[in-house]
Amino acid sequence: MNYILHILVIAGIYIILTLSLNLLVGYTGLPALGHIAFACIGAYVSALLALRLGISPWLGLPIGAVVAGLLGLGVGYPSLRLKGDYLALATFGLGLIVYAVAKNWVELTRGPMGLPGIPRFDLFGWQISQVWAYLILVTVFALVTIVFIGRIVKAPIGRVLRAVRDDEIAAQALGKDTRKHKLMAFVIGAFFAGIAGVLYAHYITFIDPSSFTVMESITVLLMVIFGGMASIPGSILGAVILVVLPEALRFLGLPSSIAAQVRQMLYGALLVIFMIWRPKGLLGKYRMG
Amino acid sequence: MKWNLSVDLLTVSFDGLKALDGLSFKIEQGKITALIGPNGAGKTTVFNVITGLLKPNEGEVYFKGQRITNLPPFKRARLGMARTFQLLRLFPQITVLENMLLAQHYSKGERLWAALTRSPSMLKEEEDNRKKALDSLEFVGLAEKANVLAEELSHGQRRLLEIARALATGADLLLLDEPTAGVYPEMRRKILGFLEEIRDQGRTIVFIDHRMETVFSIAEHVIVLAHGKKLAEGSPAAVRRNPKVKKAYLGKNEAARQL
Repeated sequence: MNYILHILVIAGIYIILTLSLNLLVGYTGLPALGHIAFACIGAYVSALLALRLGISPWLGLPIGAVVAGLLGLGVGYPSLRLKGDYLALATFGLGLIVYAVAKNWVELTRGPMGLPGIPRFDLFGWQISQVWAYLILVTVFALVTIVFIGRIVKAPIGRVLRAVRDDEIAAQALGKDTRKHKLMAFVIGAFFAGIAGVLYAHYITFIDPSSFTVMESITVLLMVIFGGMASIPGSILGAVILVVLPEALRFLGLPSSIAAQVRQMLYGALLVIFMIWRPKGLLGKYRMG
Repeated sequence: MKWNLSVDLLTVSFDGLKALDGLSFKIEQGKITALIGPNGAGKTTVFNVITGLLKPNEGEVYFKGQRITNLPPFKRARLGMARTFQLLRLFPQITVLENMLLAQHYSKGERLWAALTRSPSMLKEEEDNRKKALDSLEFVGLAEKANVLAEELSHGQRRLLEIARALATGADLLLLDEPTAGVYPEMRRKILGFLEEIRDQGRTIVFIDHRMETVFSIAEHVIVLAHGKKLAEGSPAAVRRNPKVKKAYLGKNEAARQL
């Protein structure tokens, strides 16, 4: 039972990541390949605040998310000059840099040894250590993300994002401040990815740089594409299916060393198949290129 | 005479090649002005400079008496100019209605806070704008396509939608880059009819076209460009008689014959 709840907690965290990336890629047309970097920042900021300064995760969560959002602003601003493949490469570079910092700034992050013993969330003096309790917490944050991003994309402001995606010059010609809107998408996307990172850190209670590799960013991107570009139900579906599917491999009786490889191959194959035959994804409303 | 727009001594160079070379002209308020000239004369370049997509190396642009040379494109649009593009720039993967709604002026719904709180005033504004957008689609005969993706329209319908979208901004200066290129004769007549209606509302139109027949049927004033300079300017009849204009078009048999 706990195993299934654990899978759902992980799926919930990936739902937040996938929705926040979909805001960038699916709705605003910004091909971002370094999304996990924002989760990494959120996770490390909140974990370090808790471990070094004894700050509660409840405070670490908004701080981690805001720091991730600020990084989004810092990356978004120079990225405004870049389009398409160039933007994809720049964000890919960001993913590599953040990973390298987490791995090599040993004094702060303990490098590859990671940060063990991250405290859990507590509620009125009661530690949220049961998986079901954490599932409720993650579900609440996933719902907040769904409502927040859902309201943006349904409102006129979301229409402007899709206009920027479809034709930025035409959007400017209609009086839309496209730079401002792109920055906003970057900041909000990074902010929610930061929340996902914080939730991950205080759930697993151990983080190290290997959780935040570029491959993880690609996995989240695959969830966006697979579930459906510019679709909120699509992102939820994509995250859940791609978290659950590899778990099913365990029951095929594969040795765990092979199962990990099979998972990567499965993801790669899905990415290729969808880009060729269904670039919009399962429930998508936008195809790239 | 009341001037809507003026460009003053514009020069634009691409790798040393002068696309515009000290070009000056003024556009009269409430008139239809045609901008014509052989290929490569700099017609679209002028539009790009006026709307801010291109910074001139030298020269100034004034719109309604205000110097706008250094304003970014979206700020110029907000002052009341709208344009269409030679190669059509719709938002292909959203609906026709949403394309129209993007032209509306929003004071509330395009703010983050209003979107998150779903404020009643934002919802009201959206509702009003939706009605207005549907009316505009009705006006151009695209109402039954309102919920179709823009990429699914025919070429002529796309031209129409792009013009309708520019109109819906409420701009009083419309810059139309070949508004009738590649459309059926029937659609061309329809589009030209709209242009005259818009003019009758007191709005100012500048359009680029290659077909002399179009130019001479609706333009009240013609500016002829060649090699980035103004070759001639005046009423259609005067321009048609101008020997310099005939010479510029020589070799382009079709155009010359039409002159």
